[in-house]
Amino acid sequence: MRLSEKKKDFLFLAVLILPALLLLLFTIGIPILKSLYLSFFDVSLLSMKTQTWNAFGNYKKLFADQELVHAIGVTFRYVVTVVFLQFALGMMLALILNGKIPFRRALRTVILIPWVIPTIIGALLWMWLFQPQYGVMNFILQRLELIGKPLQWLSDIHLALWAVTIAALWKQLPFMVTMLLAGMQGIPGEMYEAAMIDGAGKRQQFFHITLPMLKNTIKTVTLIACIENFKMFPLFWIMTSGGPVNATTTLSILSYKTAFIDLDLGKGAATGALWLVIMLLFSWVYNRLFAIGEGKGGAAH
Amino acid sequence: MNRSKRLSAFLSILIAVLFLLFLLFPLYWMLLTSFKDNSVLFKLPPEWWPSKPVLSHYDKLFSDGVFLGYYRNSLIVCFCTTAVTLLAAMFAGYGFSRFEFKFKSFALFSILSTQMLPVVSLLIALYTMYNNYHLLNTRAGLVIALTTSCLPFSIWMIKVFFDNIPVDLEESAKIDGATRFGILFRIVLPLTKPGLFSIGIYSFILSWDDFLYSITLINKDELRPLNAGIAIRYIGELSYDWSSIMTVCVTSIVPITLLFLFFQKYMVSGLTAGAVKG
Amino acid sequence: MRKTLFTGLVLMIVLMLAACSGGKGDEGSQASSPAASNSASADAQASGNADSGEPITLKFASWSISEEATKGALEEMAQKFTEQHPNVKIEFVGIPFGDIKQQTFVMASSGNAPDVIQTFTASFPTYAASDIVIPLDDLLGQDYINDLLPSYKEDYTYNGKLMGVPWAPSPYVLYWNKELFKKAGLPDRAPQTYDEMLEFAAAISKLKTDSGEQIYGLGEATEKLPINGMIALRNIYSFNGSVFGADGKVNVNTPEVIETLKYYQKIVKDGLSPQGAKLKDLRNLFSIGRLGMYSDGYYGRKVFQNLSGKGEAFDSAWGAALIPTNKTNESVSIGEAHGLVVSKDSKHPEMAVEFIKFLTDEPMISLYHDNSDVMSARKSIAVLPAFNASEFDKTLNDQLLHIKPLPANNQGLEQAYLEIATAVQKVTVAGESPENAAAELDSKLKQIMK
Repeated sequence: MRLSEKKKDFLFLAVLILPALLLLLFTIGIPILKSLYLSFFDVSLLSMKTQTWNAFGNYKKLFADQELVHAIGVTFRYVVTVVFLQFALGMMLALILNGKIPFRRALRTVILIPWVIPTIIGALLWMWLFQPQYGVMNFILQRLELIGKPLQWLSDIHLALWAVTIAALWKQLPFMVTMLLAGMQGIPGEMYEAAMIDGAGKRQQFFHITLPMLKNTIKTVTLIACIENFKMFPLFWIMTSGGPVNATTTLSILSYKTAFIDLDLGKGAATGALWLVIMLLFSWVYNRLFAIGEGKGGAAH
Repeated sequence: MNRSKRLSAFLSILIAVLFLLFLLFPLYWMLLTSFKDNSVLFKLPPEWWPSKPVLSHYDKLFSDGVFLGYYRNSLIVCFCTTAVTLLAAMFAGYGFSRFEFKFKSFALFSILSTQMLPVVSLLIALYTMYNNYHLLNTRAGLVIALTTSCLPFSIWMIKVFFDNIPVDLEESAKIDGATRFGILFRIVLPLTKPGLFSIGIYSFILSWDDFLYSITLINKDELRPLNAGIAIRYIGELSYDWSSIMTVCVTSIVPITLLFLFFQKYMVSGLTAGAVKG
Repeated sequence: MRKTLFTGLVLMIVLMLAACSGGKGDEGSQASSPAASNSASADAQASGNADSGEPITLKFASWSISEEATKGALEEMAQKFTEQHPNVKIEFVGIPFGDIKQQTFVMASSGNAPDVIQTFTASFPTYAASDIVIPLDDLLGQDYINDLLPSYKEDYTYNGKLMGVPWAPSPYVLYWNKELFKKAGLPDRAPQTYDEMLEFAAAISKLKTDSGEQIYGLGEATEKLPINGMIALRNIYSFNGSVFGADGKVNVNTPEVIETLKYYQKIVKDGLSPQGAKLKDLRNLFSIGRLGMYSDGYYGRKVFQNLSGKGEAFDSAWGAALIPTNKTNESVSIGEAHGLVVSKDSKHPEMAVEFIKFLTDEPMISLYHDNSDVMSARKSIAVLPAFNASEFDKTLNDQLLHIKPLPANNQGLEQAYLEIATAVQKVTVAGESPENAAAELDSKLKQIMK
């Protein structure tokens, strides 16, 4: 008996995508469902034997104390700052490296190094640089007379988030630059020549050619950056553990703390569930924003 | 005109130098710290170049085989993760690119949205499952977990590559009687070489960066990968022994950096090709 | 060309999978090596005298095993234990201090907890109130329990049962840097009272290093960690305060607590103490001569030697003294102890307890003492001359007589410590008023410590 072409196609497709789907289901799908389930129960690591339904109690508790709202605020502040800075600075550096600067080939390679350095190592390195009493950062800034007395960086309530942001930038900027640069190199040179003939200045060229042509690249890389930073855990955990007071307690830190420091798994799971909702909303809005003024399916090809 | 041009050239160089300082000085400082003896380490003003470089921190680090063990574990786990991710992402990406089926966009969206989930909130459930299936403290278990964290973007990126390959090629091969797998392996894959490189490198770097999975799923020292090993053995609770910590950092990044510099040509072209067209 | 590429790709993947399974193969061989050593030891046992029995592996979760300073001593102890009990193998599970609680609880959630877990006083209440550890009274026997110093026994008791064993106890004592005292023109002795301590600290804070960097007079750990809340309790005690009111109920909205918070706020604001420091930051600063005084357990000496870059020569640069007196007119400190608990998942609780007894017995504690100044929580050992030899030992033992017990163990105690540390952080970093912080702390603690 011979299978029809359609059946064969279907089998082939199944063989193609099932391995990936099963893997994802196993390590992400089922755990998600399980933790959603947990979020409706009183579960504590203190006594895993007893799990009682608590009628949305975890969610009520979450909304009752201000920690959640605060953490959402911190998370968004961090993500927006780091992605914006990354994008602005990345664009600047990419423009420079796209121009006629000496050693640009070597530079393009060398600046990528921080990107391959594991986050935890970056975190340790920046803690050392930011050490308030004998760290080199304070010393340099003092010598340059940019600051009068040593800054407390990671233990200053107003500075801590910035300090983490700088460390994050250091690791993530290279990737952003590389992607933008590649995008720029994909823009045909004739477009600029034509614009020059029309008498467009550098600035006009940037806003009317470079930016629009980079739209898809920008969308992709900033989305990646947003997601990575939303999830950012090790950097915060190692550098500040969410402190001082709660100045750097992001959602990931909050849910880790609730689940593993307070040992309240139910509430931790509820935080995770809310997080998922926020992320889905965010990416929906994000897609909408980029779809404005664009025909349907603009991103597909 | 000429003057302003020169000025802007000067400005770009100045800005480039500042960026370079920001990106590279920390690495220099890491390297320098690892060669300083504790008696000069905390001095201010600091020594910008070691007056008496010492190797004692490196000696101490390599005096037991533990660190090299971590390194080996990391390499094994990351290579396996990369291989499995390549295979799975390649198949799935091709499937999603070439076939239309019900719930396709839903499936794609769900796959992508798993990337947004915090690992933190899955840990307990994952740990329990791993325990039931005897995957705790196995490299295979860690590879599976890491693979799934690499898969979503990999599938997405490679799908874009496949999308850009004209279907005509495959149709003519089909007429010549090639099998479906034959077409995939002989015709399509060679054309997506840059894409495969890029997701391979992406997966490798992502799994090299992992901390949470390995610290939770592995608690045998002889199986621990580098990052977890560093956190456990070298950060220390009694004090911040900065020169030792920096020594560990340097040692752990030198090989990966060299590897990267060696492959960077492929990596950059592949990675960017995917995202730019996407 | 295409073909070679394709073959190359397949080859690469095959190689990687081979490497992967090779890794698994390794595992197998690693798994078999203990078995081999077991059979070897079984032979030894047959010829020797030891207690017979099936091979046992005790898992011991510890952070000290991954600390440079204590690793060697612990490995030696495990080895000695295996010499005595050839059928028992000690398998260390190294987990960092900051992660050990959550990691062991996660392990326990799937019935997978190590047999013996290292913990410390501030974290212990959480274990004690959980269902993952077992009471040890019967397994240890009354003789052993009666030998424990009462305050430490109390700290490891929950609902009348001993749920853990105090292993490496230490009171908090005052460390002072003799060189800085001299440089500041201060007498060659530690301060006797808090007022004097603050006065000395102010004098030291006026000093600068050769390059003009700030020197701190008096360090207090103010980072938001349970242990720092416990340390703050030491200060609260010194100000004659407590967590409980006269009626035995939680009450921290008291003048004494407010005064303690004021003390914290003042020393940070005046630059006497670094801001947001962990104990390990203080140890670093003390080692490099940029901190005049701070209080700590026995852990300091080795750290100072290493970080100062001067080795043992640095031992003469500092002294340890009793905590100065304050409102109570006598030195008040708290005692902390690294403790050991036995998990419910343990299949060999008797052997686990045997191991704990072995660790806390005279030979091993002596070994630990020589290695890192560890004291003993057992009366019979604490009085031995070896534990009272140096000035440092004497100070520690002296301070042990001036210790106020910590609050009785309670499910929320660790969380309470964390809240106290948070209050300290609020007044020192966020500039909140001590009165407010105390009131907020009060309402939090009343919720937590039911």
